[in-house]
Amino acid sequence: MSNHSTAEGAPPSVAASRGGSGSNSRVRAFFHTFSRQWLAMAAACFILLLFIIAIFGPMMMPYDPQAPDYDALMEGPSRAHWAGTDEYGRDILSRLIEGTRLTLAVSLSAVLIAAVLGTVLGLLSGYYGGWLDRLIMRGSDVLFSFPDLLLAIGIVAILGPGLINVVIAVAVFGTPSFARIIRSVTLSAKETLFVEAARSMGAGNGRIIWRHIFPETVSSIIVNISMRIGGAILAAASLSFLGMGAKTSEPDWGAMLSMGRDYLSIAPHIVYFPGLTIFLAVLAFNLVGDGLRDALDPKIKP
Amino acid sequence: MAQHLLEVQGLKTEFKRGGGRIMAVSGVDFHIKKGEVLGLVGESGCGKSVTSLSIMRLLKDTPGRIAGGSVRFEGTDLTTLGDTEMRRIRGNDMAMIFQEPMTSLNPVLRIGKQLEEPIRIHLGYGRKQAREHAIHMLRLVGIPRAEEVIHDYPHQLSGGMRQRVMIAMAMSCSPKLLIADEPTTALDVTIQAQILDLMKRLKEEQDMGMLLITHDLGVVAELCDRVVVMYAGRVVEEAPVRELFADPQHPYTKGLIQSVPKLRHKVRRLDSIKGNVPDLSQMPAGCKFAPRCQFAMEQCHVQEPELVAVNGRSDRSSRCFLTQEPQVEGGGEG
Amino acid sequence: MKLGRYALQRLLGVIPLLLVVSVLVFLFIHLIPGDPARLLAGKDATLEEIEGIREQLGLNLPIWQQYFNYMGDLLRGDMGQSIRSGLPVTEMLSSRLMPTIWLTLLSMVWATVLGLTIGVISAVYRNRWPDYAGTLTAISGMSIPGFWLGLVLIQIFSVELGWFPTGGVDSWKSYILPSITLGAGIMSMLARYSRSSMLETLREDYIRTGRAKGLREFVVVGSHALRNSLIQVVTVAGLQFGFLLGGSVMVETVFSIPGIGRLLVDSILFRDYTVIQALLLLFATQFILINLIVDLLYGVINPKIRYS
Repeated sequence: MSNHSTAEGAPPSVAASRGGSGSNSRVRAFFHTFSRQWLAMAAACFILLLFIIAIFGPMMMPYDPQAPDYDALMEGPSRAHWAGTDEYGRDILSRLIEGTRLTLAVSLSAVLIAAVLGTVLGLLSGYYGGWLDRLIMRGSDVLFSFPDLLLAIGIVAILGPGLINVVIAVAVFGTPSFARIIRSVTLSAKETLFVEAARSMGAGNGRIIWRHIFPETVSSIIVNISMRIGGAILAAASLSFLGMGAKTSEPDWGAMLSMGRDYLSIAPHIVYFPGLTIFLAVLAFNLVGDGLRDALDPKIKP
Repeated sequence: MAQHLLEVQGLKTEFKRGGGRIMAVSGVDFHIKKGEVLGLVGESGCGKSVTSLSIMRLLKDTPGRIAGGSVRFEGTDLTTLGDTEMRRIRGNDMAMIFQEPMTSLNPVLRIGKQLEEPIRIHLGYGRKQAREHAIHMLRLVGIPRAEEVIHDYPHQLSGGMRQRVMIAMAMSCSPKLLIADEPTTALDVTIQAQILDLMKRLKEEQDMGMLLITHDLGVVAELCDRVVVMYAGRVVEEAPVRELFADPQHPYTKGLIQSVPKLRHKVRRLDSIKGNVPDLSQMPAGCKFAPRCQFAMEQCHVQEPELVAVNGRSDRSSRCFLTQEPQVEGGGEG
Repeated sequence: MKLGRYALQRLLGVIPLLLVVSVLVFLFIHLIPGDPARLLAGKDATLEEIEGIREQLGLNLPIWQQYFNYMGDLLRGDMGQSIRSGLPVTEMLSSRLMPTIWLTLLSMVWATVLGLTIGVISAVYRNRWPDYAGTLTAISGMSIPGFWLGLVLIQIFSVELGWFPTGGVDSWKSYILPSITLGAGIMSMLARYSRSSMLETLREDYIRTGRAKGLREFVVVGSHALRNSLIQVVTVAGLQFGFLLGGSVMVETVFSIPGIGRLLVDSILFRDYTVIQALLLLFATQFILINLIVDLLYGVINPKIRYS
């Protein structure tokens, strides 16, 4: 496919002059591109904030998230309670803070598990080819053909409710995407000269995969992880909202929303705040994921 | 002196790359007279395509923009025109055909529709008239069964046929200047010959001026009246075609001509110009060709030579200190 | 004609797929840990009732025979009975199918129109403010939790302003808020996809040719570029139709719409296996059929396939 903006029209040697060789300038080029996108940078700061809250949460909570206060049921935002109180009088802000840790833990672990599984499958599939490749790809096609949420619901239906099962479900439906991406990177890395060279020097398959092919996949893995965390948070929250995830006593953001639904007309803040938090968190991760993708690996389509 | 059909003076075009700017075309001058074929010759990356795109102002959706100079078409400076006025000229008085016939036609529109677009816009024909004119143009460029081809889609035609369609499209409004950017490079050798014949015939019939961009000296020899040689975004030599081949002045031109293998000579190794085209962002000081030049003197690495007339003639020039040397006092007329 | 052959290939490819799906769905009951008869009889069934069910449903027959019976029943329109309510599943499905279909259709329409518009505008005004606004809208649409958006819309437009009902399917008004909620995710995805597709198309050589002919930019983008870009986007949009089911589960729950999405959730929560099985079959089949239609549609609109 001929492309007039990069072909004869532009001086060909210019592209080579930028970035040079070696990973040092790649890292620098990455930061240069990434920092230009102020939106992604702002989102990254927000994520940093989330992590800080997750780690130092208990010290930041104004109230005990479990402690009910029957004198202050469902009060709207006030100076005492910045985000109001829920149907048991518990401070919503404190519950949101505590829920941060839960949300991050669930989504991160689910995506990391999917990343590990998917990477292994993708490397094997791409490197060895043959029946193994076909098997893995067929499997991931089947998983891919289900809408995410339905698949997750299905898995939770079989395993039963609870956050651990939510993690498993989200990890399962996230694996095929990693497998596919890593496989395609593996396929192209397989053909490169340095793999040929390594093989001719007698390097074993395992060594080749680990030292030569895997490093090429790292940037794709990072990009995909960042792009999928947002979806994982949404999926986990949705499952909790449907009653299949966290128990209502746990300060899971989705569960909080589900409880608040009954009081929508009289105390909408119970619904607004947790939902807003979910929205902002997912938005931030998606923006960062987008920025990372633009800076590291623009070939992955949105 | 009567006004030239096309007069390019000091054209500069820059490209934005990774935060910086690269000058792809740095101060190019040439002119084309009515009915004359000027060849623009050089290797990949010398800026010849960018020059042609700059003339037509087709740099949208590329990182390039015109940074200076003027392009006078029949006296009007195209670089100062607004979009609407430029559009009236494109496809009408001035047309262009490109290198890749396979991708230069819209794959989801029929040939007829694509041909009729410029006809209806510029000539104002109605539908029926436009269709007849389109069929007429297809016949003119030698496409058999024109009435059927009109209804075809581009992928149903071969590369040679598609290039003919491109030529038909470009010529449909009787342009005064045709810019052809490597029109035969992507085609088979036999088809190349046919297309060249076609272009020769059209040029004679329509008395059309042509800017022919190519790296193929054979094509230059066949079609061109005059030649301009470009290197690293600059003009390095200009001459009428016969004299360019008979007595090239610039070392680069000499190298190019020597690299073309001649039929009767048996050689063990083909000649080539050693070295590579310089990276436009890291240009050497002095003459840009100096690093590859077998005649390079010390001065060449320090100072860039000006483009000067050869033997005092107005139609020959060369950018080389060697050419300037024989300019002994009293040499040649002004 | 190539199109005929293309269509035939696609159609034939679907048949084995449907068969595989039917087998998988059939095996569903048997894959769940536990005795199928006990599962189907319900939690409170007595031993006799369980044995009764086993007889009645032929669960002691060899598996392949069960499969044939199952297929036979299916073709006659019998999908068994709901464990929970005892009603014939086919009846339950058909009564609840229409709301979901209306909801999905409406969502697709507005999501496609808005998504494409945003995407094209973003591409044409690349890196200027319309692009930033469009991309931000799109990413927000992807990030917003569907259930939250729905609830917020209800709170503002139903509870406070009273313009729309809070739930149910009493009138056409009931479908507005739900379809906005359901369409948000699709709209975003289409906006991003059509943007990148348009950007790619605009870099193609024939776009430059169009400009070289002196065409107005509006024509170049709207006629030449858009037509090429649309071919890819329509394919993607069509595929999304199948994915809307996942979202409809959420939306139907929030807006209390008696559609098949909610039926799925309810039957999962109540372990109504016959209904779950029937729904799985329905979903898988409609997904496959939609893919088939999209494939055929692609063959029609892409001239490279339509004309040899």
